[in-house]
Amino acid sequence: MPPLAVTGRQGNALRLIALNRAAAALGLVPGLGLADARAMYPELATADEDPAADRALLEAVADDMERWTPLVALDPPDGLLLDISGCAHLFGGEAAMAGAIRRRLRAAGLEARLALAATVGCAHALARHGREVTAAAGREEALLRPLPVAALRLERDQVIRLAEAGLETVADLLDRPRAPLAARHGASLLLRLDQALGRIDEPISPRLPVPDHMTERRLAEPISLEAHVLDAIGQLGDSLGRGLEAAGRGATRIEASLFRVDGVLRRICVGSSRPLRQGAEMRRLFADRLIAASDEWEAGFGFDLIRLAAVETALLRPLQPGLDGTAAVAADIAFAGLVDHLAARLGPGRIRRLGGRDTHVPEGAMVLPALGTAAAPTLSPPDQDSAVPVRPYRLLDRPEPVEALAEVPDGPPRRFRWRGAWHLVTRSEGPERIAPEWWRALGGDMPPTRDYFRVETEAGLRLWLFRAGLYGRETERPDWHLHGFFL
Amino acid sequence: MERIMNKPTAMTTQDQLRQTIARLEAAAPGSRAGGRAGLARFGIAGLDDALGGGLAAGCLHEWAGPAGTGLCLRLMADALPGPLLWAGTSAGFRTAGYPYGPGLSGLGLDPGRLHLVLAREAAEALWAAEEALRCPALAAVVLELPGDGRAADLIATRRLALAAREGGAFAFLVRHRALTAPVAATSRWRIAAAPGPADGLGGLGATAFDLHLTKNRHGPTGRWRIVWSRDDRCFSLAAPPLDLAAPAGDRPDRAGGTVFPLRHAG
Repeated sequence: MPPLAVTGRQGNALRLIALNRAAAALGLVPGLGLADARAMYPELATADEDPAADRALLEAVADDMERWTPLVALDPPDGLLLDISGCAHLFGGEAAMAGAIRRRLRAAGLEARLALAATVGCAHALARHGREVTAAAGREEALLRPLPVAALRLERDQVIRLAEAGLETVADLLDRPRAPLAARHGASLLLRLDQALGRIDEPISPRLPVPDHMTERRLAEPISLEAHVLDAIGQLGDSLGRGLEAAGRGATRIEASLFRVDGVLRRICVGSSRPLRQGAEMRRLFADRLIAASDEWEAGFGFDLIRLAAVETALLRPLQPGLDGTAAVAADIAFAGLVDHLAARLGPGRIRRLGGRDTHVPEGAMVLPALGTAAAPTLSPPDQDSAVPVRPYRLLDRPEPVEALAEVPDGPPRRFRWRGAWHLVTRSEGPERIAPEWWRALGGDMPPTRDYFRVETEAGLRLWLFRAGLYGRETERPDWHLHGFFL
Repeated sequence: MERIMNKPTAMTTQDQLRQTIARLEAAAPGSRAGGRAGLARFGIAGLDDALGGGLAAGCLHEWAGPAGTGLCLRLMADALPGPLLWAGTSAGFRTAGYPYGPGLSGLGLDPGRLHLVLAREAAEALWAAEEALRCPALAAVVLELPGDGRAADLIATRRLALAAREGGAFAFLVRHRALTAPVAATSRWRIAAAPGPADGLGGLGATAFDLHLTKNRHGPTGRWRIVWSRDDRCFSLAAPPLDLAAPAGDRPDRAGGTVFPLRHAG
């Protein structure tokens, strides 16, 4: 392969950022100016850097690494951190696991440097600057001592100042008294040192929250048929349900992670309006979800690992239907099942209920929260009081402008044109004046006051029209709008 | 049937199909497994009688005209307990308006019972309505399709009708414009707004609808103009039926009344 360098703009100069093996063999190093490199080797091929693509690749590799442990964190620009506490024995020990990871990455065409240590700092340093080791536990200090100080994840100018002071290796730092080091080079230097040595605990922050309940199945032979995947999900769901039952909870949001043989990870998430424990119910929701996304089903060479996780759970108390309330409970469950079924196929936010908000602005009082969200308050039941203002039963979320003629400027409309047709008003009631919420518009533009009229047209249509703006006080040419339907 | 009894060994495919159809058709609306027979009554004797007592639950009723949804919701206010599902397309709700809680309360319907499905397209709304109709927990499903709703053709409505029979809920299909093609509905209506009767106080008075029953599996068709009173929350007849066989009360005026002698003005 001919020498190739990736270049990027650093400061005002194009510099080499990454090199392939052939280019490195020529003696080029990252950070060298492109002009200098070209002067030495005119035949050097170059490519522009693409940080977004680098990031995407790192994310994709991180996805695939989730097959080893759910605790995967990004260490940009080119590193991944895997917390394998308690996982290694599943893969035949740490050394075997490291070997398997390396083989997998190599098969994908990636060259990786692996280091396994008891601390994030030590693993980071060893992977980049030291030898690849897979059993560093207890030997952190000895392994770190010969490494350059840059291995400690320090700031660039910290490294430069340490070099000026003649401190080049970690050993140099360890042999000095701590107080002067902190005074001269900043407390973060000691923090990094202590983290690498395990004197200070440093948790990794995984990319995704780790669910409390999950279960997975490794398949000896990859499966690719949708029905087989769903069956596996159903079986995993039952075992997930047993764990949830022990905790007295049920899953309200379930995520299935399908690991494809070639390293692509597909996540599918379904929600449920009531806590679930049965695998068959989960299978049904996933089946709906897959039908909705049928064009995305790309099994490739099949999936070899399927993981089911309860991302959100809720308390699930055992139900004991009363002697007379059995039917009511069954109906509630049937309705909740229907809502989940529809939501899984149509997507979230497609099933709404009517909510309310305490405001007198008509469209403000209308909210349509998605089912399952308890945020918006429910509407009060019908009020028998005849003093309640008459409201249309259908409302446009955005009032439509109409062209209206009124006999007197602040009277009801006589004729109006709506959606291209003229309507003659035969009767009308009003006005009902609805002022804007001035306390919300402080400092901003105040919407005009509205005068609402209920009108009946010649054809019998009953509509809710309003005139925006008080004639003579707020505007000289009031606008008319149609807002609702009574029929 | 006799023919089959005589030749039990040589039952043709045709006969088998006939039997299957007979079995499917045998499940009359009243004899559903759910046993949740319900009738939605207008409270108008002539109209309810023509329908065999009222609109039957577990059957599909088609309304042509945007006013159909309002009428269905008024009828559903106390027909069956349980949640209602209103399925339509997002675009349809945007142009025809979203259901408005305070206004629904005015129709006598608890807005908390109503659930909406905002589908991307008519086919999706149809699917959602069919699935919902199979659920025994619902009281009614209203499927609203903008335009003439041609997605709900004979086959689709047949599926809806079967699903309604299975679940036992009221099934309403509302098209904004009438479709002349045949559909598998128990009753087909055309509904239009009509000028309401004057209340004598200069106000709007009661709401009036023109109903035209164009297909009725259980009785005669006909036309009615009905009036809905917001205060009493009930329907009443505005004028005598227009062409249902009934006492001819709506003929042109015959000669009658008082004759005033005309006087020469000179």
